[in-house]
Order: sequence, then structure tokens, then C-alpha cells
Amino acid sequence: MRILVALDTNRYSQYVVNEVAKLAMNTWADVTLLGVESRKPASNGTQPPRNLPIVRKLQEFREEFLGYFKDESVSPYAIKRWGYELVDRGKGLLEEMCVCKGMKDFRVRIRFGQPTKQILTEAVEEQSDLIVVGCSKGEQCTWEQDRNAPEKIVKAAPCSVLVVKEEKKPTKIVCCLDHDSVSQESLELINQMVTLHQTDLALVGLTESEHLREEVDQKMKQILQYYTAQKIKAWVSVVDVSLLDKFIADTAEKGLIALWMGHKSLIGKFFSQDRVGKLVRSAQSSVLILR
Amino acid sequence: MVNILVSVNPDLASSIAIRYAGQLAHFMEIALQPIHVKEPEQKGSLFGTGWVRHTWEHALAEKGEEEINLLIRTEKPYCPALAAPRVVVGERENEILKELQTGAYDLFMEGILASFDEGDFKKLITSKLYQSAPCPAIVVKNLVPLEKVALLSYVGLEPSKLVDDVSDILRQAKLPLDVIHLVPKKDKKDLEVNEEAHEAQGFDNLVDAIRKKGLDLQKGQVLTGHPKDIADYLSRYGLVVCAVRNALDKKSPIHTVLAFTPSPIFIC
Amino acid sequence: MEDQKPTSILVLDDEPIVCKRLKSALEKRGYEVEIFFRSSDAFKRITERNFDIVITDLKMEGLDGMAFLTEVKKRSPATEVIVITGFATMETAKESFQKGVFDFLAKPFKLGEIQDAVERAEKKIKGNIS
Repeated sequence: MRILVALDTNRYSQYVVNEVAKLAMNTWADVTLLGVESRKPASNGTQPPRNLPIVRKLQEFREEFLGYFKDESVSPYAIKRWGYELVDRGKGLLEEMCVCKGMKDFRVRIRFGQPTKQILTEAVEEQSDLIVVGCSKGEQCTWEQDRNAPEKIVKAAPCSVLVVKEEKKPTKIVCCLDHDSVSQESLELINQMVTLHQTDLALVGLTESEHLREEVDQKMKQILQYYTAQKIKAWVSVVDVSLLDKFIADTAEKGLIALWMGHKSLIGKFFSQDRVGKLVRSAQSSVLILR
Repeated sequence: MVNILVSVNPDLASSIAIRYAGQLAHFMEIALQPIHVKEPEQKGSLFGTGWVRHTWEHALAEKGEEEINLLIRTEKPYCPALAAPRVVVGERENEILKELQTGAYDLFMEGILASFDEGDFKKLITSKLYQSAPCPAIVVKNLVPLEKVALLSYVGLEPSKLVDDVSDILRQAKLPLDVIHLVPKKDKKDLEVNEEAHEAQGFDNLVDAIRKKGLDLQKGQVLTGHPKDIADYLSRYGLVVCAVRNALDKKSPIHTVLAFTPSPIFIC
Repeated sequence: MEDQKPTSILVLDDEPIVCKRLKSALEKRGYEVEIFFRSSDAFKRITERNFDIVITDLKMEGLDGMAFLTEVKKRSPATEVIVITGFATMETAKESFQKGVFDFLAKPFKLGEIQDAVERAEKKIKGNIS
């Protein structure tokens, strides 16, 4: 599993690092901590800009993350192998450098440009399975240089996105479904979240005027069978779309809300991109968007 | 032998109900008769008269039969006691009531997915079908392991009525039984679980009634808290038994507890 | 001539979709792949022959992946084992590591990730031969 962790210097990024570290302790994922700076400052020759706040913050986050893996004898990120590799230094320059690696990749990166665009580019290039991004509680996110970056990332990401607003141990993972396209990857991601938090799973089908679409009903049946076979306790229920906001507000107090968006936003789905964007913005708790 | 009528449609809720009945069959001998009522699309006015109406109803029933036979074939391995389905055309509640009244059933069962809207459950248990059914009913909301049963008590409950309705079935099932006395309070933040259940009003009478019927009572508890928290707590039971028919005020918070309880509910 | 033989891989996962995806992707790269959905069948197979690489899921009915890993390493210490798991825990990760697993991949993963792990394992095996 490859996790891209998008960070800025806000308080919620601290929660993000802690949440990702817990997930990485279980999954031994390849992890990239990414910070984005809108403009590249002038630097002397090849010296990187060390005095940027995001650079210092990323260094702190790196230490905190690795602090979760103190026992190096069983740490996936402890350096186990090294060797010379050709590294692209840009501007047509390749350099053979000594590269140290652990069993799993752990990288810290800074990109320059517009945050949403850079984060999404990184996710595509690195084929991330999950993007984890922080967001402030309340109506307006305060992402540096791109206030609604989490909402925009959720709408356009090629993979699942966990929007972290706080640190908490959910009592239930509540997965809401409004269509019949559910990827194997999203089911697997839920399995890891359920294992991490040792919780039950709730499958929620969205209805309109008490009517559950036949294709959603069938998909829920398949998913339930999948989880029964995996011996994961999954509760099923339905929520009328008119009560969705209230349901999310109520459920998010103790549970982790997960919304199945599928790869494309289809016309007529309850979870349109705009609706999900609004949910991400206004939710008082973390939200997982599944693709 | 417990004779059960199960209402089915070609959907997830019905699969869950049939599989749950399959679990019941591990504990007692059951006969499970599925019924599917195909409702005319223009509700209220049946189409045509004479042979026209007859032919049309026949076509509708055939369509319903195809859908239900597929469900029955898929679910039969999970519940071998499942009989061939009965498919009828008409108004759902009336047809099921007619079947219950003529078929000497001990229990009615149907799968209904848990809903966030508590009004849905209230509507269900105050419906003509649930109020007039000649036998108790199980509303199966989820497929949960049937390992222990909760019998709910609350202030104002008529214990002998509750125990009379369930004792035959529970005695056959020989499942461990807990009595849970509910004190729903909407303003209570954390759920309080008190093991000193005998202090609750009416609790001793219920326990006496249970013991007289020779049921295996494990423990008694009092749950005080928000109805939703009580409902969450009850999710650990494979069956929650409650006397609500004609026994509760429509605004009673017990309705809210039952509406949010995700486990199957035995209504008597 | 030994080096001419394709690297042999045994894949064990109770989810057929995972096995089939891996088989087709790895065969395209020239590996000799055998897939098993049941650990008892895979266990029988490793008593008949050794594989260069074993890819195994952890959570399975009967003999679980951890027991299978132990058995593979006992019978053929040179075999490199890659664990894939849908239900990763700190304990299983550490235990796999201590039992000499070559790599530990939590689902979901891209095919490229497992292909990369297989390539590294193959490189290690060939390095040992020379």
C-alpha cells in the first residue's frame, strides 16, 4: 500500500501524521510526506531552501513519524540496504549517489506550485492507494495557500482520500453507498481500517422516498456476503437522502464516515462531487472517501 | 415444530430474513413458508373485471413467481426448511393477514433493513398487519449470530402477557436469556449499566413469570441512557424480545430504542 | 543452464480474483506461476516441490498464512516469501518479519508493487546462486 500524506503547517497536520503512523504500523505501507510551497524561493546554486516553514515542519513530522518505529530491528523503515543509484538532479544532470533504503519506502518531499495540483500530481505519479490530508473543522478549511485544498483533492483524486479533522478512535466504520460501483481496492482499504480500529462495520444504503434502488440493494448484498466470508461483522441499514446530513452529523460523533464515490461521479448519484465537497468542508469529524 | 410465515421480496432484506430463519432452525424445528405479495401497480383500483382481470393477475403472479423462485433457490442452502413460495396478487397487508389467519402459523417474520428514520419503525409496528396479526412477529434487520436473547422490560409492562407470547418458542430454542430493564432518557450523555436489576420497578414480577415458564434466565440489567445508546448496547443480542403491540404509547421512547436497535426484534 | 529456468512462484490466496490477477500479471513477465485458493492444497504442493518465491495471504480457513510461511521456510530456507494481507496488524507484520519474510504487502496494492517485490526477491535469489 502506498500512502501519500499531504501536510501543511496547521495543527490538523499533526493529527494526520499520528493517524498515518498508526496505519503504517499495521500495514507497513510505503509512505511519502509531502509539503507544498506555492513559490520556489531563490536559492544559492544547488542548495535547497532550508528556511521555509514547511521544510522545518516536515523535518519535525519525519521525526515524529519515525518515532513510532523505535525498535529498528522490526521497523520497515530502518535502513536495511544501500547502493549506488543514478539520480536525476534536474536540468539534464544525472548523478550516481549512494541511496539507503529500508524494507519499505519512507520519503519526505516538497513540491512547488499550487497545492491541490501538486498533491494530485504526486498521487498520480507515485500511484498512491490512499491520500491522507488534514482539514480544519467548520465551514472553511484553512489550508495554506489553497484554502479548500482538501475538498478539491477529494473531488479529483484518482484514489481513496482520508480527510483527517481530529485524532480519535472510531467505534464504528460507517460506509455509505449510493450506487453499484464498488472497487476491490476500496473494500480492502475498509478491511485495513476495521482491523486498525478493531471496530464493527456498518453498510448504509441511501434511499430516496423510502426506496432503495435495486442495484444498490444488490451491491449491498454482495458486499455483505464478502464481509461475512471475511468474518467481519457488518451491520446493514438505510438512510433516506433527505436525512443524510443529519445522519452524518450524528454518526460522525463516534464513528468514521466513509463514502463510496466510485471512480466517476455519475449524474443522479446522491454523492455528487459538490455534495461530497460540502460534506468534507462542513463535517465536524474525519471522512474517508472511497474509490 | 414452529410454523413460520416469512414475507419475501427479491431483495437483500429478505435474504437476511431467510438466513436468520436458517439460524433459528439450529435451535428448534421450524417449517418456513415464504409468501410474496405482488402488488398491482395502480394501488387501490384493481385492473379490469372478469377474465381480463383474472388473466392480468395471473400474469402478474407468474412474474412475481419467477423473481421469488430465484431468491428461494439462492437461499435454500442457508435454510433447508424453506418451502416452495406462495405468490399472490393483492394488497400486501391484507393478503399476509389473510394467510396468517387461515394458516395456523406460530410466528410471522420479515426482513426490514434498519432505518435511520425512527418513524419508519413506528409506522411498521403500528400498521394494521402488526396490530392485527394473530401471532408474534420477528422483524429481521440484520443477520446476527443467534447466541443470546434479550427480553426487554420497562415501566408499565404486563409481564404475563409478554412471557405467555414468547415462552413456547424460547423454551424450544434453549438460548441464554437476559432480562434488560430499559430507562430511556434523552438528556443522558453516557449509558449506565446497572447489574442490580431487581431494584427496577416491575422487574421481579417479570423474573417470576419467566421462571414459572421454566426459561433459562442468565442475568438481569438496568440500562439508563439515551435511546440510541441503549439500542447500540442491544446490538450484542441475536434477538431482542419486546411487548409493544397495543402496549405502548406512540410517543414512548421504547419505540425509539427499538427503531435504532440493529438486532432482530421479536414483537409481541 | 540452471539460470535459464524461469523463476517459480506459488501464489496462495483464498480470494480467487487476487490469485488470477497475480497469475496473469506474473506469467506475462515470464515467471512460472501456480495458484492455490486453499492452504491445504498449497501445503500438499510444497511437500512435492520447492518454489523460488511464495506469495501468501495471511487470513485463511484452515492452515493460515503464518503457519504456511513457517512451513515453507522450514522445508526450503532459500525460498523467499512475500506476505500479502487484507487485515494487517502490527503483530502479524512483526511476526512475519521475524520469520524471515522477504516483503510484507498490505492490500490494496498495485500490481507494480508486487512485481517490484518479486523482482527484488528474484535478484536476491540469483545473487545467492552466483
